[in-house]
Amino acid sequence: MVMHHSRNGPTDSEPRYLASTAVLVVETLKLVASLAFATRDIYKTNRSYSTADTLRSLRSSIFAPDCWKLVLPAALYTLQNSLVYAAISNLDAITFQVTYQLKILTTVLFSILLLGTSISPKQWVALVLLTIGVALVQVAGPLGNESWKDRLTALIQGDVLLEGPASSAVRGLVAVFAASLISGLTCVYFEKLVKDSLSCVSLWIRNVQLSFFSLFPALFIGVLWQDGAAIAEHGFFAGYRPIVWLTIALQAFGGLVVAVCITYAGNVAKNFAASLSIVVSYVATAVLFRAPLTMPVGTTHVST
Amino acid sequence: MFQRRIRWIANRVQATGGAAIVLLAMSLYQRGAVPRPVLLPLEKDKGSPSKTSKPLLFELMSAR
Repeated sequence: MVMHHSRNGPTDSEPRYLASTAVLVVETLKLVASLAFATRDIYKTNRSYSTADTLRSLRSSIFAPDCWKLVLPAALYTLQNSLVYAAISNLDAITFQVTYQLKILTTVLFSILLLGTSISPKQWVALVLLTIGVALVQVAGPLGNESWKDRLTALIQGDVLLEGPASSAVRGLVAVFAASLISGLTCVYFEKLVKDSLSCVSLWIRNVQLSFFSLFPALFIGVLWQDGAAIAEHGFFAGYRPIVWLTIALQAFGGLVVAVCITYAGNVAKNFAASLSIVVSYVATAVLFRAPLTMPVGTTHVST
Repeated sequence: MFQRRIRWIANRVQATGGAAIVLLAMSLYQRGAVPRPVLLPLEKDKGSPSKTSKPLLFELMSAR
C-alpha cells in the first residue's frame, strides 16, 4: 500500500522518483544492514578480536572461494525481471496475473528436486488451491478506466510505459512461464545454498554476498542504462518524498525478513505468507481507501 | 452507474472468494503435512509418565 501510494500519490509538480534508483538504494541498505549483522556475529564469536581482526575476518568470509555461487541468483533475478517485463508487454494483465501465480508451484517443484522436500497429495491440493485463490484476489478489481498494463509496468519497472498493443500472446506466455520457473529456481537455490552451509557461513554473510552481486545489475542495467538520461537531467534523488523513503525502508526490511523466513521456514512457507499478505493488503486497501489496489503489492519481488 | 455498482459487488465477491480459498489452502497444507516419525518412548521408560515425553533424538544421544 505504501509503495502504491508512493508511486501514485500527488507529487506537487516534482518528477516522480525512478524505480531503478529505489531498487539500488534498497539493495545498498540491505547490504549495509547485513554487513552490520555479520560484523556483530563475528564479534560475538570472537570477543578477543580487534577491529582490524574483525574487518579482516569479515572480508575473508564475504569474498570466500565459494562467493561466486551468489552470482547465479543475482543474475537470475535480473533475468526474471526482464522476462516479467516481456510478459507484461505481450499479455493482458489478467492472463499475466493468473499465469504468474505458477511460481508457487514451480517453487514447490524445485523444493522437491533440489531440497528433497516431501509433499503429500493433500498438500498438492492445498498448493493448487492457493494458486487459484491468489490469482482470484489479484485479478479482482476495477477493470474500467485504468490501463492495467501501464500500472503494472510502472510498478515493476519504473516509469517506462509500453508502446502499442499486445503483440504476441505466445511470446508473452513463454516469457511468463520462464519467469515462473526462474522465480522458483532462484528462491530454492538460495535456500539450498544458505541451508547447506549454515553451520560454517552465516545467513548474513550470504545476504551480504547476494546484495553485493545484485548491486551490479541494479546499477548498470537499471540506473545507468535504463534511466541514465533521466537521472542526469533531474538527479538521482529526484522525487524522493518521505513516503518514498518509507517505501525503501519497508522494502529493505522486507528483504531481510524474507531471507530469515527462507532460512528457517523455507520457500513454500514463504509463499503462503506472501499470499496472505496479498489478501491482507487487498482488505486493508478496500477498507482504508474504499477501492481495491488491483496491484501485486504482496508479490513485489524482494531480492533476498 | 448501475453497471459500476454490479462490477464493484462482483469484484468484492471474487476477492472474498479468493481470500477464503487462500485461507482454506493454508489450513489444508498444515493438515496434509507428511507426518514426522512418532517419538515413541523407549521400552525402559514405559510406565513412567515423567520420562515418556523425552524426545527420541535425546534418547538416541543418551544411548550413544
